[in-house]
Amino acid sequence: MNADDHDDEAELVAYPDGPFLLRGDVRIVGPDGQELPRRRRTVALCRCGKSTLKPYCDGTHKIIGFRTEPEVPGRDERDASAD
Amino acid sequence: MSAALFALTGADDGPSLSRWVARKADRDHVREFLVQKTIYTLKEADPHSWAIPRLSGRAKSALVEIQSDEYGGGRPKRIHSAIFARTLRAAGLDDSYGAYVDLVPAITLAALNTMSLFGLHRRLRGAIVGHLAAFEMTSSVPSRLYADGFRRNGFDDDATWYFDEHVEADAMHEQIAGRDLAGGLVAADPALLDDVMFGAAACLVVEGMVGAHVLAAWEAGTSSLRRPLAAEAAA
Repeated sequence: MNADDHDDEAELVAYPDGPFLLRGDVRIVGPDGQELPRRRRTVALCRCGKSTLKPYCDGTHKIIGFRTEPEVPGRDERDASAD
Repeated sequence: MSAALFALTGADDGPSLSRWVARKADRDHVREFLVQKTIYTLKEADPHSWAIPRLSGRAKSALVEIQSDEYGGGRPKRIHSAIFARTLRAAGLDDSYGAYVDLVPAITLAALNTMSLFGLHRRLRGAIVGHLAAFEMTSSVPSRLYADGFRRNGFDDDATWYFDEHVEADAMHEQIAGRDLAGGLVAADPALLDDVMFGAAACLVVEGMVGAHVLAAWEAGTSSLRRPLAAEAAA
């Protein structure tokens, strides 16, 4: 078994200057334990705090110039090759 | 790669059709706006699907993830073009494909033909990827403004579903399109970098021309269509 054998597990990807993307079978619940609507398999979770759709991202981070740097240690390896 | 795409699309600060719709558009304007959109949106996502067999690995996986969401994730009612058809019907418009093709100006056809051209040629696979990235990166924030404009004109949540859906969906798609699709393609084939940026820039140019045309007509108090909808209804 190596890491690639676990690709059916849930994954949270931290996108530079943007939201977290959540893939996989994870329940998203409010403080009362009530399940929040999840309308798509992959969802973007607000990280800048300004989305009008929280906990989901609505793109507002671009308007406010949200930056995640310096967040190199948390950087996804796939992004390192993308920049 | 993705940083360059976000910078390019973020610098696109020309006159905004979405702000105009949010603040000033009346019911005739928003109906005309929908007619302009029918040419692409009743076939939403299709031109980019042509690229799927021309990609591999990370880029292919990213494109399929986006397109699956565009096509409703297995639920026909949630296909984006089907959600758009509901909005058309709520506005009293014809949702059959091509119903308004003779009413839209050449630039609207050119914007769609740009996607078709890029999508139909393997040598332009970088361009169609760049086009989709730019399209997604310039969608979520305007979609919220369009929804505001439709609500202001009395449209209900079912009619604005299309725009509300794109606020959430495209905020997710733009990350995948910029980082995993465009970034993945260029990481696998660095020679395609220029084509990706060309496709993104071409998207911004032609879509910007459509927006500028519509805005100029409305600011002048005229129709952005070749004949106003009212004239069609009377004919």
